[in-house]
Amino acid sequence: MVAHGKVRTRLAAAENLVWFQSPDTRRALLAALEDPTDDVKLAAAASLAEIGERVPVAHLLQARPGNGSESSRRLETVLVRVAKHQTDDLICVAGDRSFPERARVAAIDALARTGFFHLVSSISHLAEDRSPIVRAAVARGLGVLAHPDSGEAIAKLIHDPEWAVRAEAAEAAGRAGLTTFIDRLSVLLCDENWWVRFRAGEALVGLGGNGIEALRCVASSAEDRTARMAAAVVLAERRLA
Amino acid sequence: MSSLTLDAMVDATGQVVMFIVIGTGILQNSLYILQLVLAISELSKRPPEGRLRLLWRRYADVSPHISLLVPAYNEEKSIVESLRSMLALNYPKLDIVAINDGSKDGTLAAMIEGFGLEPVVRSFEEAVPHKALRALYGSPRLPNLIVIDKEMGGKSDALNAGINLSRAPLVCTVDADSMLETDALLHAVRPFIDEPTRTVAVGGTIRLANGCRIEGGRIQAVGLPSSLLALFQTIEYLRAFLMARLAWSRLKTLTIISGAFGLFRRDVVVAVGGYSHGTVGEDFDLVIKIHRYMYDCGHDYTLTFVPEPVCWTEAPESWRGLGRQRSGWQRGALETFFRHRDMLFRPLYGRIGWLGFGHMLLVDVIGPPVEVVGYILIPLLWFLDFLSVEYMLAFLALTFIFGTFISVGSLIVEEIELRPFPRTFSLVVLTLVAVVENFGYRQICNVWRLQGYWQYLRGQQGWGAMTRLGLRRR
Repeated sequence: MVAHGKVRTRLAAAENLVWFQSPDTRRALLAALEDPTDDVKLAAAASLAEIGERVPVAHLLQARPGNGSESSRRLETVLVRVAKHQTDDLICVAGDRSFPERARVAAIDALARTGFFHLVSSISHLAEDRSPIVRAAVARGLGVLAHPDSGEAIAKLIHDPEWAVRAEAAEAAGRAGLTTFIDRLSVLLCDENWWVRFRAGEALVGLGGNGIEALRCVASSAEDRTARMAAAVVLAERRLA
Repeated sequence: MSSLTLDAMVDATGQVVMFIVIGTGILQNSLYILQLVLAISELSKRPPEGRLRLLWRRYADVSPHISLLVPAYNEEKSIVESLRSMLALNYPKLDIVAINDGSKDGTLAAMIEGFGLEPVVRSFEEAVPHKALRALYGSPRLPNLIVIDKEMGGKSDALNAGINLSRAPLVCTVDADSMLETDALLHAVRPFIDEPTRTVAVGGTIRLANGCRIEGGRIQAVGLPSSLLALFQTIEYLRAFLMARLAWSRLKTLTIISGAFGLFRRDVVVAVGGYSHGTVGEDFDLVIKIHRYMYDCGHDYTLTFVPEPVCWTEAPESWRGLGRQRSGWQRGALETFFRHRDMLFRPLYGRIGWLGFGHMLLVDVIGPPVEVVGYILIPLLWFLDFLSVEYMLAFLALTFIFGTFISVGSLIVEEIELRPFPRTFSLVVLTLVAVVENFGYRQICNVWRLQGYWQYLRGQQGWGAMTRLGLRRR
């Protein structure tokens, strides 16, 4: 059924084969990785990961229509499932510019969700990638891992020319508990972009006593009106004013 | 001699008028048939998904955060129940932004009491324009509900306020008096999962709740309305949503996403300046602005329509209410068409300029007056003996047979793919209604559309009072 019939049937078969573990199942799922329909292919990959089989990640991404430039977000589900067992494969995908940006982003997100602290350095290496969405994913990933060793990379990302990267980096600093970033985050309260100001304010709150004190200081005495307002509203929203 | 020439001239004029009227009719009906074929093809390519558990298993992990924007004006009797049913929707990452648009009744008080709300402060970006906010309300018990109290500015203004306050990447606009299917968002979000960077907006099928059994803010049993007027509208909604919008979606030329339910990428809505003020067709206008923006920026994008029923709304059951609604729709279409008329047939706007605007020109701009002129002139010319009986019968036959064929066709397609009505009797009734609507109802609708024309030319604003029974009060 996974090889023939309508898309709906093939998809359902690829999803449900996970309950029938056997060599035949493995063969059928591997064959389904060549299915012309994205959904079926991804469902087969997810099932393979679920039964503990190695998923040929690079092949899966290369064989995608349009080389995965507009791939379904279900790819993220597959990569999250394989991340714990195929960490090296995902590190390769994340760092290889020949893969589509979205696939690299999905790989970084999946790596971060493993919670393996040793991945901090692998992810941090990508902080100067030329793609802004990859850099944003790096910042987000470091925030998810929330390890103090990520400070150096976050310090670079917090001054990124792209606002989306700065916003992610600000949030990551808060989540990683980097109290040494209080001054940097305070500066971001007068960023030109609202999201950056907002994330910086939230991060300062997340840093606890010293961060909140810095926010109060900015709210009461900063020269920049935007920074004052940003700090005051965040404090009021958290009922800390 | 001069009398003969005059006769010949009148005769020739009669022939020209007749050809224009019949030609426009044939063109319109051919378009409808094309839509029907495309809708069938789309449904066979991508059959609708039904089961909630399956949807959840497939999409919940990767579903983006959605802010549900619920503008409310004088909804004190139903707003709490509406919001309760929305809070109970099956979607993993959802928050609700209810906007009290300067209601004159106790809408705000009802929400404060119903949810134990208290004033809150919330940081937000002044990204799109709207009237002043009076206060924001929230509750620690319901962190995913925020209520905005603002000065009255109309639906578009209220939605703009909601867009500013939302922090999710996707915003979903819903009428406060509509009811969503519990799995509506899981259905509608699917294109954003399948094509996350290309998809900028998604519309879904709106169904009529008249005649359905409603309990606890949910449709418990689907039924047909008892009023003939609502039955006519049931057929119209099936045609409009399942056939027309699905077909335009397939052609990548979807130009309208209903104001009753639409899912949009927030950053794109902000980039186009949010909803426009001063139009009754704000939903239509927003979609056209999005097309214009994406073409102007050279982005590869898509607007998609999902055939699954996602939202239930109430159809007006009085002639007066329906007339107001239809003339308002026509006015909204004309306002949008003429506001963006520079996109018509302009190569820069590709399919939207040619197909989308060409269709609007034919159906919304030229169609109504030509059809009414046809109804008046053809019998008149026949009466004056300038038109043969064969031509008149051909015109009537084409109009009525095409109309019936298309309505019944869309009914059959819907029945095959979605099985919307559990009782066969309902289908028999709707088939009869599809025939009957051609004799009187369709002509009256055209008169309402001409009224809309007149209102547009006079620059009339607003909808006027719409009388509805209220879904949750049924």
